[in-house]
Formats: sequence, C-alpha cells, structure tokens
Amino acid sequence: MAGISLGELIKFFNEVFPILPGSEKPEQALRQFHAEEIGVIQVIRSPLQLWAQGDILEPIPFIDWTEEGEPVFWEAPGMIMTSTCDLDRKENIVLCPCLKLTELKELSAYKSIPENTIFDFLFLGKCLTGDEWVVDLSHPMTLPRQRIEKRIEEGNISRKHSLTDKGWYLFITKFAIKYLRSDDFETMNQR
Amino acid sequence: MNINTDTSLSITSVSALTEKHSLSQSKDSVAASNNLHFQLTGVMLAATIMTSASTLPFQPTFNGSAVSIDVGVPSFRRTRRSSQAAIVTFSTELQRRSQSLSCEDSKLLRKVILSKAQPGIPRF
Repeated sequence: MAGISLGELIKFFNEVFPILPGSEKPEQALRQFHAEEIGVIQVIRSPLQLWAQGDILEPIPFIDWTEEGEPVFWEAPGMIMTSTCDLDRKENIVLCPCLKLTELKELSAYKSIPENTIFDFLFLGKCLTGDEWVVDLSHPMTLPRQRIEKRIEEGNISRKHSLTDKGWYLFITKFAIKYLRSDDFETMNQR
Repeated sequence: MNINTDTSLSITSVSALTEKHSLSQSKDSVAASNNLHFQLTGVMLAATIMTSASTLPFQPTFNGSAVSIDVGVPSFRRTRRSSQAAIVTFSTELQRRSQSLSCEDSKLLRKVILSKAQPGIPRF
C-alpha cells in the first residue's frame, strides 16, 4: 500500500460502492432465508428455458480419493457453479454435489444447516425427491461442457431445477462467503 | 471467522490511525489495519454484488423485507439501491453469524461422501 493514502482509498471505495451496510434491519433480511420461511421464499423452481448458474443436473459423477489414494467414484445431483455467461462458451463446467439433509444428521452442525449459517453448505429446502437437500460447496467437480450437453441431449442427464431470483442471490452470497472470506490478520500481514 | 459489522461507521478514525502510524506495527496501526481489512471484505462483497446488479429486476427483489432508502432519486435508481443495500446487509450479517464446519464434522462429511462410493470410474 506504499504511496497510497488509505483514507483516500476508503473514500474512493465508498464513492464507488455507496451501499456498504448501515444500520438497517439485518434480522428481517436474514429471516427470510431460514428454513421455516423457505416455503414462502422459494429458492428452487422448475428449470429455466436455457441452463443457468445454480441449475441442478442429475446424475453428475464426482470423484474423490481415499486416505490410501484410491479413487472413489460416486453420483449425486450437481448444482452448476459456473457463471451463466460462461456456460455456452467455456470448455469446462464446475458443479457441486447435492446431499440429502438427513445424510448429515451425524454432524454437530446439523441443526444450523437449514439456517444457512454453515459456510460449506447451501440449504435448498425441499426439492428433487421431495426431501430437504443441501449443496456441499466444498466438493466442486469440473466436467467438460460438451459431454454434459451431449448427455443431456441423450437423456442421460436431466435438468431438474433452476434457482429463483432470491435463490440466486442467496447462492452468490453463500458462494462469496465460502470462497471470498478474508484471510486472518497474520496471513494478510505476511502478504 | 466473524466479521465485525460495527466497523462500517468508523471509516474516518480508521484512516486517521492508519495514516498516522504508517507501516509500524504499533497496537493502533494493527487494530486500524485489522479494521480496514474487515471493511474491505465488505467492499469485496459489495463489489461482487454490484457486479451482479445489472441483472437486478426493475421491481424490488426483497419484497416486504428490503430496507427502503429514500435517496431522493428517480424510482429506478432508488429500487436498485434499496435492493442492493438489503443484499449487502444480508450478506454481511449472514457472514457474521455463520461458522465454518468443524474438523470433526468435516471428517464426518467425508465419511458420508465415501459411503456413496460405486465401483470403478465409468465413461462420461
């Protein structure tokens, strides 16, 4: 930051982005995304005409590795992380797996997941099978776009859902919180 | 990690402290720098959302819950600003209240994932 006045920098940011949070009512804004409100605030809808960021496709292959280094293959519905504008022109598409909430009941954070207050999960509410579903934002998988398109054409992959407008805002918020949290002070100090 | 949302109103004092102490590691400058760090995270979120703002619908996005800000500008701009402010408020507060998955939970999640394993890796 040498040579830059921090005061001027902050002033500049505030002029460019005059929307920093003030003293509004976050409680009200937050509550609408809690599980009990999810029936009112619809996060998921039927698929849009063209595929878009946040769409849920099924089935999607995911690959992981055991502690011994053996590859593990599994299938799950996948939510598209890739920006909508990249879906028709980039070679790869990134998806994250959807899990049933009940599969996570052993986790100590289980009760907080429907409140969407766990960094790693985007809680969707009831969709797909009628159960409550969660997106695991920590397990992205990259697949070639052309193969996904082909398998959709062949009927081997279905587009199950898209996000509503509010659902999409919740999605980008959760995504930003998951991947754009600031470093701890010590790390920043070393940069 | 939690974000201190109270820092947004202390910009003047932060700048003053930071400029005064330059790069020295005094407690004041550390606190001020930390403070700035939190604020810039808010700015990053705001920037992310501003980038998306061009797609905001004409009508308020958070019907019934958006915080209305009367800034004395034409209704279109007021609607955008109101929606954006609600989103930024929401995301900042959500981050403040959120927590990371514990190491133990992370291991349990891994077990859940590995329990889904199927034999081989098929063609795609």
